[in-house]
Amino acid sequence: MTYYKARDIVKQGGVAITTSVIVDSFAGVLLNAKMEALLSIPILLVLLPSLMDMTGDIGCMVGSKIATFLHLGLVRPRLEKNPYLMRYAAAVMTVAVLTSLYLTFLAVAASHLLGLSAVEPLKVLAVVLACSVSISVIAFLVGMVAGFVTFKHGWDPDNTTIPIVTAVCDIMGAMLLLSAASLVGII
Amino acid sequence: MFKQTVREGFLSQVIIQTFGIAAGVGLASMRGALEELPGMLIMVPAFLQMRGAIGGTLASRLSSALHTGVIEPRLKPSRELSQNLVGTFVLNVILSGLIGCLAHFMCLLFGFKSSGLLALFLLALIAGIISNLVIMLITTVMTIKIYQRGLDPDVIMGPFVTTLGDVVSIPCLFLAALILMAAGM
Repeated sequence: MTYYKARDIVKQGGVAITTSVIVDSFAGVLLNAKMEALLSIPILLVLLPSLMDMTGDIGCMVGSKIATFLHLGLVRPRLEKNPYLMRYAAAVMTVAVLTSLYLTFLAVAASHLLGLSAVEPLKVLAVVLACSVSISVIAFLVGMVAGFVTFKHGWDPDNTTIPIVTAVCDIMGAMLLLSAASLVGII
Repeated sequence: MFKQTVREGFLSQVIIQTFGIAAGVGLASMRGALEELPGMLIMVPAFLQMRGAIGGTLASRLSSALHTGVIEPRLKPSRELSQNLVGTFVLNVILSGLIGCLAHFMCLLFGFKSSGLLALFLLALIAGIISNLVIMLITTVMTIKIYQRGLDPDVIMGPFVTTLGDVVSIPCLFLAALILMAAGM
């Protein structure tokens, strides 16, 4: 008997990822509704995979680590102050802010090099920062709930936490991107 | 742990976002195909999400398996590893097909133009199978290599796999779109 079974991976992962794929199709619907704005302001298309990535990455770092903490017994599956989680949250937030600065620089530079219509760099930074900071907070809340609930249920949180957290982060990311962009007046 | 997480997390983000912007430039230059195959933009976030989730859960399971000693940190076939890979592949085929159908269904539901159920189904399935083979290979090798070097694959691989998924997925979607357009769909 093996510890991992293909059938369980398909079953447990299937439930979680199917949910996340359905949620993400709604993110796609949001983008599709704004397709003309996205096609006419290409810096948003340039930013889109990176921003979706960054939000997903933050979700992954959080989800994967919460699963490992649970497996190692460092975190109990209940809502309480935990030094491991607190320190990890501070670290993730720091990574989010630093990455936002770098990402803005890259997107502005790439758009400039490609000769795409220019958007004020500070506005781009505001959009990226607003997305990443809000997403970090959301990722932690959702990651804890998803990890704790599935772990208590006897499922491997490695199979479930990441898809759930990243799907929530993606739809929130698409919403935050579009609303932050219209708040600072890009679209 | 704070310093290590920030250092490894930010370093991997620097590498990842460089690729992410490359994927973005790819997406921006795919504008033609996005207009040509209505419904395709709807499947982009779901497809990238699936790619990241399947790669991410594989990396996350392998990380836990390495941390707990269920899988040895060596590149050799084992039953635990093959169960992981078979599960990953089956899951991928099922979900790719589902994403194509969902994109068509969302078009109907929200009144957008669709390329049709069959076209979107095949688009997602072809792109899904090609990209999955690439991702499984890279994820398995890198997770084990990173662990061997004493780094924490939980911090590096999860983020890396999602971006790698994007960089691999967007050309695969583009390739599948070209195949379908050549077939006259």
